[in-house]
Amino acid sequence: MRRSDLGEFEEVVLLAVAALSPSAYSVSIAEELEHETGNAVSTGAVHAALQRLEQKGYLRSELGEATAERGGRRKRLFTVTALGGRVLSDVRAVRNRLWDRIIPNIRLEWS
Amino acid sequence: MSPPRLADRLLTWFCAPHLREEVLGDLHERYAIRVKRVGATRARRRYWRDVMTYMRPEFLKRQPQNFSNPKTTDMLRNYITVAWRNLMTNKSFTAINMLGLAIGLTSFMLIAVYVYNELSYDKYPTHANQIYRIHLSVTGNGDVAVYPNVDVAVGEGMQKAFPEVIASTRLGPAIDYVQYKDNQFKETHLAFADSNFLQLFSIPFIKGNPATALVAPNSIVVSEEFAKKYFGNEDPMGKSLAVGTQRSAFTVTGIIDKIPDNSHFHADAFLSLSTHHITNPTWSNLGFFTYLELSEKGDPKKLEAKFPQLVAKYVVPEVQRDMGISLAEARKSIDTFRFSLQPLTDIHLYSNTKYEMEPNGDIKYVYIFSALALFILLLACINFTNLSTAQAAKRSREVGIRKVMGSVKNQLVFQFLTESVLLTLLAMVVAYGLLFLLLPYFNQVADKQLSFFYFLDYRTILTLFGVSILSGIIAGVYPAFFLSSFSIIKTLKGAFFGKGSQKKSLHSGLIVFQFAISTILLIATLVVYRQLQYMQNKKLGYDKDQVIALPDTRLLGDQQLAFKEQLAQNSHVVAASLSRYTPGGIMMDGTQIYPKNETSNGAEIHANIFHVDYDYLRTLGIQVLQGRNFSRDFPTDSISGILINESAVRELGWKNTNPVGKSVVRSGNHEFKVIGVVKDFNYVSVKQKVAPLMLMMGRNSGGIVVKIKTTDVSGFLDDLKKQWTAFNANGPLEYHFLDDQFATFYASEQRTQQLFTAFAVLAVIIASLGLFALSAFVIEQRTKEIGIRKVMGSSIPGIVQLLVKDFIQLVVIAVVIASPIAWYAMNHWLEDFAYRIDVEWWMFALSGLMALSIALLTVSYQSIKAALMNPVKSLRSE
Repeated sequence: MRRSDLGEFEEVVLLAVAALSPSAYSVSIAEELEHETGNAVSTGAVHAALQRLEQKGYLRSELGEATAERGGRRKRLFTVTALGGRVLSDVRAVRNRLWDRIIPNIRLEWS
Repeated sequence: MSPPRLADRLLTWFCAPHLREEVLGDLHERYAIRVKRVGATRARRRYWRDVMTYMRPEFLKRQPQNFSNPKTTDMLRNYITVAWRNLMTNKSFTAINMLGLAIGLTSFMLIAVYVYNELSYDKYPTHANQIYRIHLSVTGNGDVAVYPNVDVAVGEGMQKAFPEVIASTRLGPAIDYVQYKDNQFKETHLAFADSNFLQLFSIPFIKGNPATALVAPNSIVVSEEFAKKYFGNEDPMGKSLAVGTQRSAFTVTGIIDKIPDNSHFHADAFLSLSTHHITNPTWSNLGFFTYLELSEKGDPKKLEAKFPQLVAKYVVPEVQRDMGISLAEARKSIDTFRFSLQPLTDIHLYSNTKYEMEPNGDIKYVYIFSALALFILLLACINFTNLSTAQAAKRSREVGIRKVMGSVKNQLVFQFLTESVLLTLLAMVVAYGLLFLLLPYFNQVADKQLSFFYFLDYRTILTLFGVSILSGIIAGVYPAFFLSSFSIIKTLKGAFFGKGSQKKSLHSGLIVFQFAISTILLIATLVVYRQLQYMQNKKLGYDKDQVIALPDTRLLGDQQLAFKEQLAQNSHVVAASLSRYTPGGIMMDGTQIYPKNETSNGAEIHANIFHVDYDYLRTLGIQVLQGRNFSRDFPTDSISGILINESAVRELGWKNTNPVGKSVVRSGNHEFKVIGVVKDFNYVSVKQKVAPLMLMMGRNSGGIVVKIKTTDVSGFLDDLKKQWTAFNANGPLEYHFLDDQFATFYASEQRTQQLFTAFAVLAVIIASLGLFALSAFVIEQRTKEIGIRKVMGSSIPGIVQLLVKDFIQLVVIAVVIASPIAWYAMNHWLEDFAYRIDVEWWMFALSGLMALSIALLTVSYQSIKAALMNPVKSLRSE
């Protein structure tokens, strides 16, 4: 498994897709991330990340329905693939293991 | 409120097509959300920023297509094929267009090279931009006389006085005999030069040391060709040449290649100026052409501003001494005596003093000819535009079909442009052929030595290629947009050709433009021709027929007078005079004089001087108006007697008095008594007004003028040569006829006239070619109409009149437009001449008539052909 090819932003986007499924697309993801992090997130950046993730095989996409505010244009909806899901849980496992090794005293000092 | 349209357009432009839908949809949706949240203004601003975030490779990159897309080159090949076929179907139109364009391009090329050559003058020295020639302008009597040469001490004095002058050098042209063993020639392009002259002008040496070659007295540096003439295959270095009638020995110390053609001076040999030992260098007279090199930071304007202080220091005391006047009087020179700096690179085109070493160019003619070249090219382009739009009827179906088959406007425009560019490129090839034929003639007319190889230089070819393509685009752009704008349905229904009034006004406008230009050129040609004729036939105030000037009788030494007396005995000789000064000759002396009046002295004027003898007036048939000629009965005549001309009388302020017996004083405080007044005669070119002249005895510099009266001129000349050799002269006999020399005055006007004639002919040819083709086309379209008219009983003259009328109207309008423009321009041109013709109405009438009859001839051929056609033929088809 090539762990190194998942960037930090990509990881967040991948998580967001998983969280927002089945209606995960650039706008909803960007809005969600903006809401969660408090930083401005552009659809352009999200869309680019989504494309990369799809290329890597962590996501798959299909065209969804059109709405009025989109000017009748369809949206591209993303869902996490099995491979994507495994990568996510791998990442999580690594993090968890590391978290667990932090001595509780130190964790107390931070907060 | 919708998102910014411009941002959307930007995005659609750069975003890959397959992503456009989702990306735009996302952006719009987000925009709608933001409008609700933060308001329209901020949402719009954010929208722009969001659009920018899509500028990344993922979105720019186009998706590979599964279907083959015709490559640009394929399309181009198709365009060229189609264009070629189209050109070939209309062979006659193509030929006319191409001929016109080729003529236009040829004249453009020739003029471009001419202009380039004119602009390239004196750029060859390494520091050309830092070299300046010192000019002297002397104000007197309201006139300003500008001299390109200054006194001997000026250059060096300036270098000493101002640190920004890093070098000064002098040049003095000379004409003299040069001899080596048996080879003796008269050299007209010799020059005395300071030792640093050749280095300053970066003249490359073949042999010898540039730094020292001209340092020693009696050194000479010769051009390679010059060396070959005298020494043949011998090595010239260190050999001795005898120069002048004194046979002074000059040692060859260097060989240079030659002075570049585009230089304002051309000397074949440079003699060291140190040969002349100048004991007392002065500031206030005239002397050598003096050049200064300024340091890189030297500002000529600032330097010029400092010159008056030198005038006060050096010129004023000299004037005071020479003229014997008070210091206060002499101090006036500070205002009247001005030195100025003429940039070296501007000399050829901007300096037009009367005393240049060689005739210069004129920036005015550079402008005029550039404009003419562009106009001729434009006329040829107009032909194309006109003919292409006229053919619209034929092409409209093609356009319709192409559009139905899916061609878009851009492709059609490009296709039509290909056609015109292809045509101009063909024309360029033809133009090269024409160039090859016309170049010798052009060189002769323009007085240039341009070789055909110049046109084979890659830069020239590239430029011409560029110009051809550009003119192709100019010619084709209107037809291209016009033809491609037809709507499909109209063209295919054939409904397009009702009355195309808009199209017609364009044709008319262009024809008017073409003929206006042609008429202006015709008028210009006529005026220049008349002015030239006027100058050549003007009464000059002296008799120039059968007058021979022998400029070098000084070769005879002491025997000159005896030779002259013997000539006077000849039965064919009317009179002979010992003088080297002839009207139109190169000899000219001059001085400042002021009149000595009873009460006070008058204002100083400049007067030219001719040194003559007792027989001069008789030889040249110059009239004495008041007083008398020089006479042997009055011994003082040869010392202090002078004759002055009418112009001198006027300028001395003696207009209403009797000048005979009055005195003038020249510099050096010499006083002269006026013994007579001669009628003004044009002793320089008729281009200038007759300036004040004094005739005085003696110092004739060694020349003889002979007036003969014989029907056997060549017999007389043989006789003359025999007598010359009988006198054991020290060199060959030189002679020229005064009227021949007179003709050379107007060489530049003659050139102008020839060029104008050539351009006028070209313009008329191009315009008529266009008119011919256009009339053929228009008449062809009206074949049926003509047939019906004939059937209905119309007469042949009636039909011809009908067809010709439209075109003739346009030409009349053109003449009306052209006349005032030509009138203005030609009056302006004539202002340069002191004696000039008036621009008269008949010149316009004649030119207009010529333009009209050419147009009439062109159109009526087609019209008569159409009118004579049997209506059965024209009405049978369909």
